[in-house]
Amino acid sequence: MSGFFADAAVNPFLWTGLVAGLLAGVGCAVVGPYVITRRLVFLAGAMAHIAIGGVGAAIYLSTVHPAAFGWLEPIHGGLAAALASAPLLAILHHRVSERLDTVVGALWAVGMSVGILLIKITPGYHTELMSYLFGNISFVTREDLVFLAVLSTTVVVVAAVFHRRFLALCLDAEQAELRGVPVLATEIVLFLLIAATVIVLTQIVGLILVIALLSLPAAVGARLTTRIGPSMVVAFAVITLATTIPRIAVYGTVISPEAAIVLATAGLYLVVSLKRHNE
Amino acid sequence: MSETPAVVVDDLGFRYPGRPSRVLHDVGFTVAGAEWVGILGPNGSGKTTLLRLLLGQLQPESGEVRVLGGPPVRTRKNVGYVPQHAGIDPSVPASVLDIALLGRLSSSSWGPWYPADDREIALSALEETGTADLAALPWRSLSGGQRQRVLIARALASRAQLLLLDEPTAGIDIHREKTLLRLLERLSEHLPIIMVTHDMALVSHHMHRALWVDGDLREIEAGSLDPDSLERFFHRGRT
Repeated sequence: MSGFFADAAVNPFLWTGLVAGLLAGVGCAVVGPYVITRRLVFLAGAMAHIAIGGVGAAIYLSTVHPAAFGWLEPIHGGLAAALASAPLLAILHHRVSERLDTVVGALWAVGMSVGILLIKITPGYHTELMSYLFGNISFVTREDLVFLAVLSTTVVVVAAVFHRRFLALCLDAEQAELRGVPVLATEIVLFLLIAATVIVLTQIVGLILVIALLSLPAAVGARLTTRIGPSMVVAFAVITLATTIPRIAVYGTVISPEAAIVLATAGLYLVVSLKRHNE
Repeated sequence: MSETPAVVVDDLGFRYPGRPSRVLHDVGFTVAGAEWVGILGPNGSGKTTLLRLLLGQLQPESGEVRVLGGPPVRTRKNVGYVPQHAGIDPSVPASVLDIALLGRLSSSSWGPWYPADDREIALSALEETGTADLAALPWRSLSGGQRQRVLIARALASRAQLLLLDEPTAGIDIHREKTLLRLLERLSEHLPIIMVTHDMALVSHHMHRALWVDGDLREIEAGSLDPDSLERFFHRGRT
């Protein structure tokens, strides 16, 4: 642990990683409670894997057509794919009552397959896909931080404007519709926020592990509080702790910080669940 | 209360898409003002379908439905609806007041918090249903009877001009049922209430009118609301 602080004096990436964790925590703490209350964890997972298709497309386009797409970063492709999938998944969630899991599972697999296929046919050897799959909190640049800050701020502002509608959707969608709230349009906005949050979390733990940070801190919050607002505060505290303490603790060891973050969060959820179960 | 009837249903017919026969046909009735009207009928006879038509969640195949003077889709924001089973997951992180505040939701609700006025109205609706002392409790900690009363509070918080209830007494014990019925009796003095129920004793003891739905709709005469007559009506309807 002392090695982390000693190296932090000379390695700015150690600090940018911690700041990235805090920025991710803001969006995640706001969106996560909606995701678990509306039972959208599986759909959020599908969104993350569809984003892999976008990452693959961005790598392919920027490599094969550098003149036109040289500026395109893989994360831009991931964000575009996640945002594009949001209305589709929202409509499916709203309209498809039978076999929704089958349809969403297919989209999940197709998105990932497209990403793998595009990487395979892209000339050269592309290791960056691994950092999008499994996260790369150790090498967050200042530009990445600006990107994360813009996305997180957007998520928080939109969620504040829509909070009463999102809450109504989570508590009783039928009542929301009877009260004049356009349920599908509201759900599409919520899914767009989930897409943005998924991309923010990609920087921390990667697309494969996104579901854990989107659901577990919010689930801890829901266990410890009785209202969605306080559960957001608890979720923020959990993700802040989870992206700092395990990261510092495993620094200099063979343990991947991304895996340590997810395992610590899952462990905390388990402890809280067992404690509540025994009360 | 305005002169406009609460509900006017004229020659209504409805068929679910892909189904050969109509669930409802030749249905007509009027609810003029403050009265408590029961809707009775066997399982699958179209009672809940009728409620959904009154809420504008389903559209008639023929005939016309007017609620509070207009088409239900336009006027339903002034209708309080209490479903048989609250579609609220017991595990949601929400307080009783959060649930009652849903009655204050509207198409112009923006921002993170309900204004103080809305909170006062929701609290006074909880007061009216005898659940104000539960306001801060988690929704998951409530009994079935308490939940039904909170859902009625939610409907009242919307300043509803008509209450539609779908078997609100199903699954709650006799003591809590009595409390709920006393509340509805009081509300029916100034509010039209339409309530789907299977409980004939409830109809005969508390309601002003009853409608028998079994594909079509027949009004049960006022003199036949005693349990024995209703029982005979039920068996005639079945044959």
